[in-house]
Amino acid sequence: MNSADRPRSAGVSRLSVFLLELIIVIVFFAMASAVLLQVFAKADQLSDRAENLSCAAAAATDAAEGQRILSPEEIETRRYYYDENWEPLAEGSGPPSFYAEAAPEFSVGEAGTLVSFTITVRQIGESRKDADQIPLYTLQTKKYYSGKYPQSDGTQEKEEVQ
Amino acid sequence: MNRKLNMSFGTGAPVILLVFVVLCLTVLASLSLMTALSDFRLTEKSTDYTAAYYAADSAAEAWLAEVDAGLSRGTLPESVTASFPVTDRQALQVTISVTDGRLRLLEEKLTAVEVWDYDEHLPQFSDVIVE
Repeated sequence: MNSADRPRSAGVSRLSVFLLELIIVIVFFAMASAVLLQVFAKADQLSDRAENLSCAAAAATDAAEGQRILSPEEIETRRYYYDENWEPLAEGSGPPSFYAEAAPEFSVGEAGTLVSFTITVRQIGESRKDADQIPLYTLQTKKYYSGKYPQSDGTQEKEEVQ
Repeated sequence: MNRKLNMSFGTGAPVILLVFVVLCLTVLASLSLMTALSDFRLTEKSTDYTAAYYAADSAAEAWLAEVDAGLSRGTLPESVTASFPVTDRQALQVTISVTDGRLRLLEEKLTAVEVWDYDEHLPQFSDVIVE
């Protein structure tokens, strides 16, 4: 090696070390990013689940109270629809993303009727098929009516409690 | 006097930068995961409480049905007040009245199961508060 070549060779060697280091840093950064991205995705998923669960519980409570204030003759299986932001939807006003279904079950006793409501909140999947609906929250509640329901002649034997 | 200004990264600088960036991202990712997890746990607690409240309310309605059935047979209820536990510390208290064999729901309220004992946690400090 002559004296004219030495600085150039040292420069090239330094540059190649720097480039090699840069490649290692990029590879390591890519690996770390892949792991950290998964952590961020998991946090986002958990946050979405928490939001859906909270809104589903609110929707179930709304449906339960909506059913409980009805007179026993008006009680039937009802569905309350919500859009993707959990805003209530009127029927046919747009594609729903969630719905709360309140299903009553009448149990006629000696003096009155105990109505058990099962409220199930579900998320509607992309395919809009029944099998693609994810249950989010289920709430059970009861309401007692003094009188026997449902009655075929539409009469009421006793006044409702309260 | 014709000096060239040499501005370049030395060997090892990208590694230091990488360590710093990865460390920052790790802290941020951990914090966001912890926040999301605590949010989810809080939501679960809240929904569990809602379910517990409605379970107590259902028990109260079943009790009303039982009392009304008893009244139709001419049996007066043992008590006009009943309590249904919601949590370890809360209960749903229902009060009824029976007039002329008819049942009337007077009150339905959440009450504390235990009365707070104010003497249990006396101030432990000896500071004198000057008015």
